[in-house]
Amino acid sequence: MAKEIEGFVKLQVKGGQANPSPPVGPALGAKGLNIMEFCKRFNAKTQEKQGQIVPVVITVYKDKSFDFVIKTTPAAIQLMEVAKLKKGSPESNRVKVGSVTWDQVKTIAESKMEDLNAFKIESAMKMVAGTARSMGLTMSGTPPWGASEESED
Amino acid sequence: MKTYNSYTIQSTSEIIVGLLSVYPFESFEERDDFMIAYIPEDALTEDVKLEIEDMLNRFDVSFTIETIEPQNWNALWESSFEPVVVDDFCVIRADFHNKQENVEHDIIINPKMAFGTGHHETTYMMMSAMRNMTLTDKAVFDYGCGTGVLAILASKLNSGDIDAIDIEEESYENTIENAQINNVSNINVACATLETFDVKVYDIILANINRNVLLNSAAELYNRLADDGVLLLSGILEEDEILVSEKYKQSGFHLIKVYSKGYWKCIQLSK
Repeated sequence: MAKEIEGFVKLQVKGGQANPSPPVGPALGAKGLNIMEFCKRFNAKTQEKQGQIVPVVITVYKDKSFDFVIKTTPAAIQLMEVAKLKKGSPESNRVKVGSVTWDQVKTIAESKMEDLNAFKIESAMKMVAGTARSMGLTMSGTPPWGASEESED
Repeated sequence: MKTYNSYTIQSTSEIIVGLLSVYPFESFEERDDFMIAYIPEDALTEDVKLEIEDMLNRFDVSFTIETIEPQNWNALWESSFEPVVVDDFCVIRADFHNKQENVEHDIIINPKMAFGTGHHETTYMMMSAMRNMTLTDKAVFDYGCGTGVLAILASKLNSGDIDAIDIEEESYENTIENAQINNVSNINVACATLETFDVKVYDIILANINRNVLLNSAAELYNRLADDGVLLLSGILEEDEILVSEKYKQSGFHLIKVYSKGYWKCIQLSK
């Protein structure tokens, strides 16, 4: 029989570096879970993503056991990294603070396909591009579907 | 333990998380309609604070800031954990459990926020492997000691002196506390890394850590193991077993045995 679910906890923690400090400590400790067991499993599973912010959804069962699913790093964080930005735009609709290439947008979109509600890579790229614009980033070059719709430079 | 500041932000926007990620926030918690972002208090300078507030105000997002003092977040689990029996030869229990009869070794662990109670497969396999080894009068090195449970078991198996190190302050303090509770006096505990700790040669090395640390430690551990010594590695997921064992073989070790439990592997090596 399937275990009865008590609830879900959604965290974003650095890969390979989960420790009993907040938020892992208070979020899991308050539910009576063994925090150190979560840290051991999460850190082992995210050795390839050392230091990157990694979203994780933890299913907490009534018997105080748990499972978790690791998601891909948020597109906004990946965009900040590839654009090498120290901060976002003060007015993203008017002041542009950096740019990313469509190839970079495609790489991020590909990494996010499993988590995004998109069937085609072009749809995922448009979602990532929308996030980029909201952060004050422009796309340089021509998108794969042609210059007329998306080119900004 | 660190003191943290938490920002409770009335938004779950990924863009806000992205923009906050350039500041020294260590982690985020997402709730249904708000998020909590955590930053170490000593990293939240006045300049950083002003920049964060400016950014959140620009997005017209309301927020509050709280200080979170260090505490034992594991207290609730700790108050109700069940004793663990390893291969019918060793019990690990808290000080509030009754002592169990008919086992060779009784170990009391009050884990607080350190790792190692025997509940986890990685610790269980190490203890199981230690049962099959001769530790009498052997010099032992517990690398990444956590609660100190492996060092304490080594002492109960009549080992010689034990050096136990951990990079985490909580683990260092917890190992000292647990050694005292178990009346074990031959463990020298240090808060250190392999690079900062004294270079000595040991008969037995115990390392229950993680893949990346183990991969980076192969050469150093080779230098610290006696010619007829034994190295036990744990904290290795089954998909990482080949990577770790090949690295250690390239560093001069010989594979003796691989233990399996759940999704985890424990590797025994010699020189």
